[in-house]
Amino acid sequence: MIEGEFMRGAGAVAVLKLLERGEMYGYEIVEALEKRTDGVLAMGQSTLYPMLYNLEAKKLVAARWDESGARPRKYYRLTPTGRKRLVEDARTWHRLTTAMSALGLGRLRPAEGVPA
Amino acid sequence: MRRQHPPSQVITASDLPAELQALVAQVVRRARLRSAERADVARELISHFAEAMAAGKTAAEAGAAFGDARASARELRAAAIAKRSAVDRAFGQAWVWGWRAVGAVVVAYACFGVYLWCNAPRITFDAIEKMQASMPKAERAEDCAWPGYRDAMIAAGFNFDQPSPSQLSAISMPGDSEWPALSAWLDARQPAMDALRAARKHAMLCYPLGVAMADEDGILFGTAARDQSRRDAEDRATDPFPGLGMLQPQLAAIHWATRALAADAMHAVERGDAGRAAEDFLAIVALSQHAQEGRLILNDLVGVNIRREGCRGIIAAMEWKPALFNDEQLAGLQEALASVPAPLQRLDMTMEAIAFDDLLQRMYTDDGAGDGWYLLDAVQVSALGSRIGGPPPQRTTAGTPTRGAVSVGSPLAASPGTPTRVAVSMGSPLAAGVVAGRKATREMWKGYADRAVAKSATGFREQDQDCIVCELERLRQNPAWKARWLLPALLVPALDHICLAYAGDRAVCLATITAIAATRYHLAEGRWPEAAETLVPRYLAEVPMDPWAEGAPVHFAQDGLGFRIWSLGRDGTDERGDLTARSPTGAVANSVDAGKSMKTPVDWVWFAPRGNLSRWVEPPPTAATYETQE
Repeated sequence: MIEGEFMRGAGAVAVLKLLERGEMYGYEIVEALEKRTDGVLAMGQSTLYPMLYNLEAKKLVAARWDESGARPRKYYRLTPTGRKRLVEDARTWHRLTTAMSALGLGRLRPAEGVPA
Repeated sequence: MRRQHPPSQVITASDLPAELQALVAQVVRRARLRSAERADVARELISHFAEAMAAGKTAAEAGAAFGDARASARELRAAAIAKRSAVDRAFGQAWVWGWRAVGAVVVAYACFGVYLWCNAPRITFDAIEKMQASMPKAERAEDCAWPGYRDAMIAAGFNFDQPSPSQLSAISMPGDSEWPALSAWLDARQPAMDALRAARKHAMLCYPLGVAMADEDGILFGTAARDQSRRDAEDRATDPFPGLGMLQPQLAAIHWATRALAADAMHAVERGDAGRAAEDFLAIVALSQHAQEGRLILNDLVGVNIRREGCRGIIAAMEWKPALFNDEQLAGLQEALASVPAPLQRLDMTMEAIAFDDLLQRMYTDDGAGDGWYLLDAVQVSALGSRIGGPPPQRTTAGTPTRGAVSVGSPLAASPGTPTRVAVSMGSPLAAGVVAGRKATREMWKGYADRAVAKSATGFREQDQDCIVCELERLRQNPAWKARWLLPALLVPALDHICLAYAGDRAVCLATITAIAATRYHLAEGRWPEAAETLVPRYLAEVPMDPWAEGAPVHFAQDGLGFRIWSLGRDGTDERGDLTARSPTGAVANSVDAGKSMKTPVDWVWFAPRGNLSRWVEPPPTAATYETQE
């Protein structure tokens, strides 16, 4: 699990990426992040909602309440602005990981568990 | 639109276990957001935990997985605020800083209140002692007139515990229905009247100011006044305004002595006793000066009124019996009026300045350099209000001793209740901020006092051009000004009226002196003077000036049978002494008599005496009739 400053940047991009395929509610996002990243990007649930609020404040996501089911849920979806931002962030992440790999940070020494 | 429920209601209405409800409530409460925002956060967290429970988690697991509630609340708050519009955020900032500013003001206000509470006024001088020190001192007991006046009044039967003699309740003249009873009353008291006349020869009055009444004085003023004066002396330390609360019962005594002497003078005129009448008038003039000893404004007003009553009596006596007085007696009366010291015919604020300084030292903090903050005090406000609201001093009658300032009654009688005191204490810092400081207040008051002193030395015409009351009334339209200059606004407004009294005093004395001079001329020459200048220098030191015209002499006319001297009057228009033109009241034809002619625009006239009293009781003749009569 990634903590602190890493998670602040990565978490927001991860959430935008999850929402790319359709709207999701908070707990669903938490579960998806944990399962689809093997727990690497599992963020503390207490930080998810402030993050969603921030994305909403930046107009990157929009929210709506759905009370048609057994339990009311607040669904978040990507806005056109959020979609553009996701494209930009994806490029940035790609350049970053490429650069990191070039430095050898992409490979691990199995014995130490630290980058070679 | 969906109805928004309060956050607490949203939480308690959920199906979450109590511990998760508490967690949600904690996050929501700590987020310190607006109600709608808190409700939205609460619903979302409830939804979150409901999903967790539905996924098979226990309440403990769901709570533990949520993480740090405090950090979450903090971040939620920042994120929720970020969601607001720019205008909304600016408003929120303004709201927050506004409340911080309010808080700072409240704290500062409270601190200032504590400072004021800790800075009680410092009494640095005893006003009454200072007033006593500024009064003239008699070197010998024989110089003092008061014991003579007192004993004479006691001998005449005055006792202020009893109703005053009804014969003296109004100024009675020969011909009035009360006159026979008054004559009999005077006949029975001639020895006492002799003593009253004799007392006037003492140079000073010597009535002690601000001390407990002597037993001898108590015989005259009665036990009630005596006990009151003793209580006042004992209570002086606790009296909020001892400088304003001095009993001056001698003024009431002098007032009644004047009435008795004025009646006795007309009684003597009726009997043809010119010597007694002249002595009575001389005693009245002396009494007027004795009343002014102490020089509080009240003393001056009483003295001026007494002098006017004396002038009225002299004119009435000459009107009734022009040949009654010989030249020596007339010269004596003329000299007595002319020798009234000039300072007594002008305002003197020395005593009032002491009283005002006493007021300031009791109502302000003292920074040691003559300045300080106004201290709102419920007891003082109540006491000052009762003093200011008292009856005017002219209405003082026997049995109601006159206080040195404005009112009568116990200064400690009105004690405000606890709610008033608390309210006043809470308002004290505000009052200190609004009401001008001690130094500024004194300078403001002194400015008006100096102006009034200067004004009191001028004539009617100049006084008309400098209206202190008008100026103050204009300023008082502004409540902020009125609040800032609280004490000057309360205490200054009577000054115009007082200045007018001095101008009237000088004018009435001058008119009477001139009338006496003309009568003396007639006695000596067997005819009336051709002009006012004819009277100079033998009968008058100089040509009298018109009190209503700056630097111009009075007008004079005679037709061989009589004369009239006139001033232009308030309107400055020359009606050649015709009182019938616009006199609204049908006032008596001899306007030396009354102050009312000074308030009306008609000419101010005095005539040659005609040997009867008809002018005093009949409407004035028409101009044509007058010319015919003369």
